[in-house]
Amino acid sequence: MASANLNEFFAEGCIEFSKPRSFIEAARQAAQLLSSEGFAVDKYADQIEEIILSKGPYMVVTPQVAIVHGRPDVNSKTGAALVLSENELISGSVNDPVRLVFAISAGNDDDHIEMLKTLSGFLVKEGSVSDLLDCSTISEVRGIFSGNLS
Amino acid sequence: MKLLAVCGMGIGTSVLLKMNAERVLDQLDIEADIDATDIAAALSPDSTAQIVLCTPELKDQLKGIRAEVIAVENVFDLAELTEKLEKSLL
Repeated sequence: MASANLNEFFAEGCIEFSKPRSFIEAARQAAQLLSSEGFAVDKYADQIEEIILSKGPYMVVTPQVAIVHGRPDVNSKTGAALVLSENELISGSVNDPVRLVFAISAGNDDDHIEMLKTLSGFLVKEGSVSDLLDCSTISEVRGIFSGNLS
Repeated sequence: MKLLAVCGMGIGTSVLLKMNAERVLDQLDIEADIDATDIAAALSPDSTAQIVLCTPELKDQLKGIRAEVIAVENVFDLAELTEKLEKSLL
């Protein structure tokens, strides 16, 4: 069960509807939201792109959903961002096409575990992904995150 | 019983895999100790894990290790996880 409200981890400005042309571009956008809001280091998008290129799209964890992250960094804080893509993106994963790209950041190895628990509790619920894909405004997304709309 | 959940950095995908595998093992009433880790740790000859969980893209990078490698396509599909874990544990 989710122990906290998922919204708490998504700062203002960290949810965006977008039309990225590629999976990498979407991953970069999500990472950039965290950097812009001061949760991740400036080069977070570069770091994440390098991880995807060198290790493959292992972060596409469930159909249509990627959860990207770089290394924990003392200059980062626990946070999450979401890019909802209007385009179907091809990453090379069995779970393609990707429409939702979550980026997460962490200051150390442990302080983001509560966030992952909450996100996991959300994604393991049937219908969560399709509910998000039906959203067209940020407040609808916030509503789904808090469990008010479903 | 010792398991590893593996991803590139050992702090994201692997943690989600670990959480969902724990949900499943709990339901199966199997006692196990699961650590989330990165690829390098899983490749270590000192690793005592019997089973390593990862997503399919990482399976090739784990070739040659002693543990059985189980590739999980959908980390949030508890039915897939249950089926695959049951197959190798029961």
